[in-house]
Order: sequence, then structure tokens, then C-alpha cells
Amino acid sequence: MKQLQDSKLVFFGKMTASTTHEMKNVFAIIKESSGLMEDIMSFTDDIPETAKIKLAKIIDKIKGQVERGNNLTQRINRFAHSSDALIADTDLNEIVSRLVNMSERLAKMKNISLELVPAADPIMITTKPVELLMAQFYCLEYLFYFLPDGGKVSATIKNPESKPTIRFQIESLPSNPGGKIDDATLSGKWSELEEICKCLNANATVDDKLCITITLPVKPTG
Amino acid sequence: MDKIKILLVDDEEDFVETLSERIQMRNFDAEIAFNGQEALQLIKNKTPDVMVLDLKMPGMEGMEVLRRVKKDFQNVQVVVLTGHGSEKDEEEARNLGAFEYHQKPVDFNILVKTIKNAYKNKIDNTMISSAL
Repeated sequence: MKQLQDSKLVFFGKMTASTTHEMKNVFAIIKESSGLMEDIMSFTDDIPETAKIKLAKIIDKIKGQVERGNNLTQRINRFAHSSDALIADTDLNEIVSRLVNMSERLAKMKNISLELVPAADPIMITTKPVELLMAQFYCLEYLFYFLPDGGKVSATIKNPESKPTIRFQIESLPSNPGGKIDDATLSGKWSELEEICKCLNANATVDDKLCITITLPVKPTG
Repeated sequence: MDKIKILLVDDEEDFVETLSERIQMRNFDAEIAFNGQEALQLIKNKTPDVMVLDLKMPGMEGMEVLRRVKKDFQNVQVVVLTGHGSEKDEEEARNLGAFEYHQKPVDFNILVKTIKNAYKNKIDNTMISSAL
């Protein structure tokens, strides 16, 4: 059963990554086409100046959106490659930034801003990448639930005494917190986090519902 | 000075035709091949200074084209430009002798700069070979 689950993950990762590569080709065509329009404008004298200004603005918008689309595609690609190996050597800074980047949209929908505070140097660990991404996601979900609208959450990566940690912390509370806190829902979310932490041989602690710290082993066991 | 001869190899027709037009506007001599076999055929008749090569194409893959070009036409500088590449692909391409490796979409000015540097590298290599 576990083997089938793993195969499913690898399958989804491969298919998604393959599609993102194709999307890069699409962006490349749009980018070169807008570039050609730009070239034609600069190499042609008989285009009225007002038209040139308007076209230049349109081309800038196209370029901006290509950049945006390409960045998103790269994020999805990195995310999809997380399932390439069930256990992999990874830089903790990189894998946290992967999850934070992918969660920006979810945060934005709740008017929450996310801040990544990486460690100064890479922290190499051997871990289960998908499970680690899930653990981070559960932390954010937990805090987002507690912080229904507004505010800021930071993800800080440290390595005190060679114990790699990720700390998710509510940095600022909204002036008028909305929504209802349901203890049963919070407890359910916490159980999910604990369950996934077991797979990682990691430890999760919560401090006053404002800060969750995951302490990871340098190498997983089990 | 002779124009730099460039061969663009990519199965994405819209991409490669647009790229070719932009390159020709900069006074380079650009030819197009839509697959690996066509590229190897073209190169025999008109050897380019620089080849801009995609990796994933129907038929012969770009990596195989690179391998054959570096074996039979060592002077041709190959710039890989791909939307499909991984870090492993980049390492392999560089080991096979690729001059540079870019991911799509690349900044056009960076690509032009790479082509010029690749051409300069070809001239330098030719001069060293002649001196030896």
C-alpha cells in the first residue's frame, strides 16, 4: 500500500514537472514575439511616436506577465521535483523557501503576508522532502486558522547546536481578528502535524498558539 | 568582417522563426533546423560558427546532436537553449562540450552576448590550433 502511494506521488510529480517544461516553451514564444515587436518599432522610422509609446507600454505588460508566469512555472517545477526521491539530501533554506513561495497565494487570499528568514549558510539535511513540505504546510494552515484575516507569519530557519529548526511565528496580530476559533478543528490540525512529524522523526512544539517550531534530525530514521 | 553564422535547432517553429528574425536584424547569418537530423545535414553543407540547440526534440534528441557535432565538427560552438533541462542535463551537456547552457525563456540580450562569446572562443581556439 505504501509502495503504491509512493508510486502515485512520483507519477504526479513527473507529469507536473513535464508540463511545466512545456509551459516554458510557451513563455519563450510569447517573450520572443513581444521582443520582435519591440525590434520592429525601434528599427522602423514611420511609426507615429504616440503609437510607439502605447505599444511600448503594452510590450512592457506582456514582458511583466511572462516574467510572472515563468517564475510561477519554476516554482511549480521545483515543487513537482520534490517527489523525485522519497529520501533526498536537501538544503533546509531551499525546501522552506519552496513551500513559502507556493503558499503565498493562499496567504494572500487571507490578507496574510509571509516572510522567509533563511539561515545565513545552507543547512544540509537528509530528509523526506514531500513529508517535510507537508509538515510546513500544516504549520501554516494551523497559524492561518488561528489568524483568520490580516497579519504576518514568518518562517525562520536556524541550526542551533546542529539541530536544524524551522520556526513559524505570527509576527503581528490583526487589529480586529475575525472568525471563530474552534478548538476541535485546531486539535485536528495539530494531530495531522504530529503524524507527519513522526514520519520525519521530527519534533513539533507550539508556543501560545503563536509560534510553531519543528526540530529536524540531520538524517531521518525509520 | 564576416557575419557570424548561426544554426538554430528547435522543433518549436514559432519560437525558432521569431528568434531567427530577431537575430538576423542584428546582422548575424541565421539558419534554422526543426530537428536533429536536419541540423546534422545542414551542418555538412554550411558549417556554422555557433549552434543554438534545443534538447528535447522528436526523433534525435539534442544531447545526441551535441555528441555528434562535438565529435565531427569540434570547432562549432554549441549553446544549449532548452525548456526541459535539469541540473543533470546541464552537467551532461557541459561534459559533452557545450559552450553554454541556458533555460528558456532566456533574455535575448544575454543570448546574443553568449553567441558573441562563443564565436570569440571559436576564433581563439582556431588561433591556438594554428600556432601549435
